[in-house]
Amino acid sequence: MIDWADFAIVAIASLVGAGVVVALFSLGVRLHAEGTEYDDDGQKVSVTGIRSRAATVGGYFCFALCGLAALYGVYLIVPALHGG
Amino acid sequence: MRARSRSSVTVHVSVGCDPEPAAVRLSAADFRDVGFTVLFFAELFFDPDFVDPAFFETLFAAFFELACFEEVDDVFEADFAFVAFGSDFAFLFDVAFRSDFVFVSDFAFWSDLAFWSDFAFLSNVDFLRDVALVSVVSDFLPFVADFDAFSTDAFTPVPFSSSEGDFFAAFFLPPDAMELLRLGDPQSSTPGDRRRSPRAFIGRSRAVSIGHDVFLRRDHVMDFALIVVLVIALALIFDFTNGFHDTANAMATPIATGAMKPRVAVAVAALLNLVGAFLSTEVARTISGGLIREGEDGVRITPEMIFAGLIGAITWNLITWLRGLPSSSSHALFGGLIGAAIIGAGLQSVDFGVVLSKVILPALLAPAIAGFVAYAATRLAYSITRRSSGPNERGGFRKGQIFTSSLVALAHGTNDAQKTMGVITLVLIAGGYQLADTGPQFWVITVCAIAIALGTYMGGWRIIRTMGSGLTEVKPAQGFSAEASTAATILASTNLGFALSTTQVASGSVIGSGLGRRGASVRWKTVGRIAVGWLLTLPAAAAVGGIAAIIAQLGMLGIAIDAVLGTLTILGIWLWSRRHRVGPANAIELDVAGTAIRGRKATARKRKEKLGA
Repeated sequence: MIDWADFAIVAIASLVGAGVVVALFSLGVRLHAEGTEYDDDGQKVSVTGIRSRAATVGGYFCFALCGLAALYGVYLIVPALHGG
Repeated sequence: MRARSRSSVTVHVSVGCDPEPAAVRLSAADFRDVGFTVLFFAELFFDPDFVDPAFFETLFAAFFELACFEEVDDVFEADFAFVAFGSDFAFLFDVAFRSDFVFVSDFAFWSDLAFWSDFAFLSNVDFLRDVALVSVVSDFLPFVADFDAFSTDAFTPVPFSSSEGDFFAAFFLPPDAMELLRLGDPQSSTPGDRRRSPRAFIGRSRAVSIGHDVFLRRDHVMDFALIVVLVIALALIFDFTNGFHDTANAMATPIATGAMKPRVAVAVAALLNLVGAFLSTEVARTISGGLIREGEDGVRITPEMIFAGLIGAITWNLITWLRGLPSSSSHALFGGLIGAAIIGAGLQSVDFGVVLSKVILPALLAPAIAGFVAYAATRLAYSITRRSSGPNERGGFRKGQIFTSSLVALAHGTNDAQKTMGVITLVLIAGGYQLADTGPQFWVITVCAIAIALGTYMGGWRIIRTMGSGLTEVKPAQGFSAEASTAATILASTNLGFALSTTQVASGSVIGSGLGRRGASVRWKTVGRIAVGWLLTLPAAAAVGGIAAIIAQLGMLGIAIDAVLGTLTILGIWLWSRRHRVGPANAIELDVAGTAIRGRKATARKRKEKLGA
């Protein structure tokens, strides 16, 4: 029958994996959104205020971590890389 | 001395130095209802000190009676007939075997008496069923009369390489004896009056083994090669349908949010499927993943069954595609095989416990787990990106979607192309074209990769429409969360040993993300239709596979009818689909307002339009 322990592990791993990636990417998007404004059509109309250097760097850092997560995903997908 | 019942295992007639030869006076009637017949002709010791010549004469008479049936109507009906001689003189004439499996050897197998005959004589032995094994192991000449019926022109040696095939046997013969058999000129004394037909020896056997070689009758070789070719063709068509059926898993949400243009999205997915197929080529040991009791104690899945099962799977994949329903291609394949196996080998060939634990419960769990993860991820994404003042900028998620959906596409390529490779490889092994326990050959990997990539490129726009806009309206942050959840769940399930269907995970993610985004609504009617589709996948594919298997039982004619009906079905569904075409242009109505990413040219064009207006 169903191995509920395995199922629980898969559920937790999925939740943590998706959660971490989504949180990081969202944070990156949020940081880069600092100081920008848009009109109703979604066109960037002005940059009020100045996006702090920290926000810019922090945003890119978050995206870089997401990139690493994606590479880890590729590592998991390709059996030749993890010997299985 | 002997047991008689349908299920009895052994009839062991041991003569040896038994002083009561009457005990071996048997006729074929004694064996008629026996499931497993073993006739042992015991070693006769010619040592006069040991055996009284008179005893020998009586024994020989008993022997002779046993071996020589007056009528060819004396037919062994047993399922399995095993005739082993261990005597100095071995005779077998005028016997017919209706057993599926006949093994004749003049070798005595029992423990400490491993002798073989000095003189073996077979004449007018008729094998009425498919497989007959004849092994003649004699010190000098095995006189096999009427062997002129056996010419190697009519038979082709085939490389049966393992115990996985129809039968396993190892035989050996003195080289001169092989020559004699090959020449087909017995030059031996034949009991003329007993001789009925020079063609009687091989009978209707499909395969004969003599010496080291296994011979398949040439017309059966043709049949067999044809069915293998047909199965490969069908497997590739299935692979193709698998491709376009599952494009939506990876690409529905990025297309829906405008993260990728439809054509670009399917091209990326196709490329990643192509690459993925080459990356993982480990083939499952069983075709059905345990749903069918395969292997030593179970059913042998024949190429005919796979053929019928594939017809069921392809038909169901096309019907669900026509209805725009995402459904698991693997479940369709399992369903088709189950249907064919039930027809070919009975209901007990299916392990319903495994069906429950590997198909039915995961079909409930996969969307539940993915839906929950996507719900949580979507909530998280929206709460993090919410701004206290000014509009929320979430267009950046589109770029992220490109990566998450690409991961899903790559994972799909490594998983799904492998299934078809497995089917083709197992059929090649069963057909003796490939050694057991070897991986897929390079050409198999290549054609499977191309078939799934072409299928993916076709798009399956109806399913993309359902997944991308039918279940719920998808926004970039939501789409990103859904794809990230799909990728995470699939990677976790394949790497932690709890297999879940990609399609069901992806559908669950989209629904979960719809629940998680404030203001989004999930169309439960569509969810219900998809759920019904999942419930029906296994039984419906099984029904079609079963019908195809019933027709296939007619032999080559049935296979031909199946092939024609299958082609007509595919054509019919395709023509039906032309009535309402769904393509990249109309699959999803894009809401390009808001924060859509546009190329510079598009933006410039739009500005011009505005200026013009």
